[in-house]
Amino acid sequence: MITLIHSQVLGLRTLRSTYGVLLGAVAAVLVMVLADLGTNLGVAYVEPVEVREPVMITVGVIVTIIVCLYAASGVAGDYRYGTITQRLLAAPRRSRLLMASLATYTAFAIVVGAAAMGLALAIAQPLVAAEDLTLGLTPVIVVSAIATVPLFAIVGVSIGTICRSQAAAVLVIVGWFPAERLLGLALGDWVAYLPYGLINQLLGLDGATLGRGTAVLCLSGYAAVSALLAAAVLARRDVS
Amino acid sequence: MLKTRIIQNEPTGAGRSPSIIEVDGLSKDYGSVRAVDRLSFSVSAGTITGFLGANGSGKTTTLRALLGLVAPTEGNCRIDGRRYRDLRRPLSTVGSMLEATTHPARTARNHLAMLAAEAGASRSRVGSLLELVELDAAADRRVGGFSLGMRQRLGLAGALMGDPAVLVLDEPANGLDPEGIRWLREFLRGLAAEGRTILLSSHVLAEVAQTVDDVVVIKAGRLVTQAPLDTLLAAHASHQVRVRTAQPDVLVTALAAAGFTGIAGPDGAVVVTGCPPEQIGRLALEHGLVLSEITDETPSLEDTFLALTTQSEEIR
Repeated sequence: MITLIHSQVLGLRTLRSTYGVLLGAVAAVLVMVLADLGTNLGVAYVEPVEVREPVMITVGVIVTIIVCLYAASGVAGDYRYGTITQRLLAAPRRSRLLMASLATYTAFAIVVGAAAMGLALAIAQPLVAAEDLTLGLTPVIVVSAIATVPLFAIVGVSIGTICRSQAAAVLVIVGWFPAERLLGLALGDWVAYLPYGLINQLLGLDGATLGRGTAVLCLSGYAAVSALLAAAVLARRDVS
Repeated sequence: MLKTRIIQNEPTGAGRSPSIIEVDGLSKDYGSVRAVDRLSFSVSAGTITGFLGANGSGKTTTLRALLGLVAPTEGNCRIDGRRYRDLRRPLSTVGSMLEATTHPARTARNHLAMLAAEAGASRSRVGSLLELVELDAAADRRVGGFSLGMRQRLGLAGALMGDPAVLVLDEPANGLDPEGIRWLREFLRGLAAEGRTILLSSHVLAEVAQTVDDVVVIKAGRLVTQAPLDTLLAAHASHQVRVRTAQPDVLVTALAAAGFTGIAGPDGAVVVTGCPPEQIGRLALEHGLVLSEITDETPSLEDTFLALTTQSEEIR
């Protein structure tokens, strides 16, 4: 398992797209936090829950989706370029390969999430302090925002494994946004239990009705179910 | 220096080494299409075996089933007595080169470094293998810019990463120019001399005829024959010579007296089977015959191969 993870880490390190994702995350943080706080701080944003919203949305939504898409297209890319063959030759017991992918992308997501949060706070804190306001952050709030990134990375790896096509995987992840909105029309308040709805709950954004514990449990459930589904599909699949 | 692992070949029975690769009753269906049909063959340790068949005959499916990438519908495949998935250290037991398995944006060195990590090999082996396949000068170039021949060499380096005793190569000569084919031939011979067992597929017998010891020929997913290459060629290479003379009856009689068959055709030519042209010339001289034509029509290597593998039914 260690050798498989080592290989996957090398794989991430040796592709320019990995650094593109990191740059994209940094750019998202800079643009979102600076633009939003610069416009609304002290005007629309006064209460701590409002003041920290740009930080939470940038890390918990934007960076989360970037990493989720990257994980999905990275795993599906193995099928596009035929590198899945080599990976399976090295790991004929396929569940081990999936576990290695999950571990690698989860670790990558934690690093990116933590770095994005650090950068966002480094930008936001001086701006907020200058207005004599507060972000009202607690460790639980910070960890919750960072935790969405790896949880969705797991979902991304699973979708990439199941779809095998980068385009299809991206379509599923991006298309789930409007799909969830449509479902919300039928489900009412239950929409809070759907994946993207749970992000709002986990981040404690305005209108959150579920506790963070419930939200993290539900999201973990989605991540686990998607990973199990991916494992079942991968185990049965012919690679030809 | 590359370390090598030598399989101790202990001749058994008629001097053959024990089988290290065994395919037993393998069948594979894709929907209603049967790609491989009750295929059985074995590969002796320490030999180079050509796995031959026309395009679409089931070679790649068989190799992928052997390597655990495709689940057989029936039958099983074993390497060193075990299914691939049950091998403890698969990359150190079997090295394989299938179709493109490299990310085009990655350099050759980084590609091999990933394989080294998977195989538990040292980073120094990456440099050794790049040197071995003569890609050291291109080591830091992206694979997407490689020629087909360079990719094949990189694939061979990857197959050797775990220093395996068995190599499974799918169409390694595909797309290579004559110089590349010669390089490959010498390379494989060198590997075989180290005691490795090599199973390589091809749809062109001539590409591998100077490399392989044994051949397994399949057609429409079924075994046609498995034999040493020499035996196969001898069985299919009876001389056939067309001779033209003013006295065909005399030639036919002379041939019959010498134990050969000559059939005079309506155009006056005599088709002689089983007798080399030189001997026909001597017989004609002894009987004072003037020959106006003597043409060797012995089937070529490719004719023999085509006769064995021409599809009677298309699989794909």
